[in-house]
Amino acid sequence: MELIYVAAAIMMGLGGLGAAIGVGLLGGKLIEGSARQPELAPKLQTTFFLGAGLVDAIPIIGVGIAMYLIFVVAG
Amino acid sequence: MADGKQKSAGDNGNRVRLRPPPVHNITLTQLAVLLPSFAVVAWLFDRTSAVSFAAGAAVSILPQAWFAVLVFGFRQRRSLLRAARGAYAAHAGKFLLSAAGFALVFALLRPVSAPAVFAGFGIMWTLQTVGSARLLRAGY
Repeated sequence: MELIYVAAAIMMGLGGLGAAIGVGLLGGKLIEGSARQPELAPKLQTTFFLGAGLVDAIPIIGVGIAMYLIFVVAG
Repeated sequence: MADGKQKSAGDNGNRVRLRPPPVHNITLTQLAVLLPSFAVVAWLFDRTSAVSFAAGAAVSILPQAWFAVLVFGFRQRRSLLRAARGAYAAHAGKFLLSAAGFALVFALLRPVSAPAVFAGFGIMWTLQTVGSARLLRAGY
């Protein structure tokens, strides 16, 4: 039964790690693009926020499955 | 600057008019899809599946709306810097709201249909993806 909690922790941790790398790459490119062409910064920022909102979904689904494991399967 | 003074990196030094994308349309579309979907799931399956579907959809819609309000809301329109500050709170809040929502659904909702919960979440997330793609294609 304890393995379920370990599985949930790994699921949430790896999902969060992947999203953090993705948002970090996005943010880095945003800063790079804004520094090269400051007049495009507002448009780039809007694109960044829309993209970051989608990148977030994957770890959130992982958290949802982890909550299912913790509260329904193990509980 | 000409007078030798430099503005600090505060709001006044970084004021840019942003054209906020109409992200509230995505939330309204999700709500408009949720009601008939709830009725269809209740008609095709049972009440448990319909309630679970609606709960999963709510877990998707509410954090996205929170994110949109903080990032693209009224107070963030005036300044890039304020929008950037709001982005951190928006990301953290979205993640915490989603985690708390899933925890509440799976801890308190009895009986619960897990496939229906994830179906509701997935359909609303698909709507958000399609809506965001349309906004990007529209030039926002």
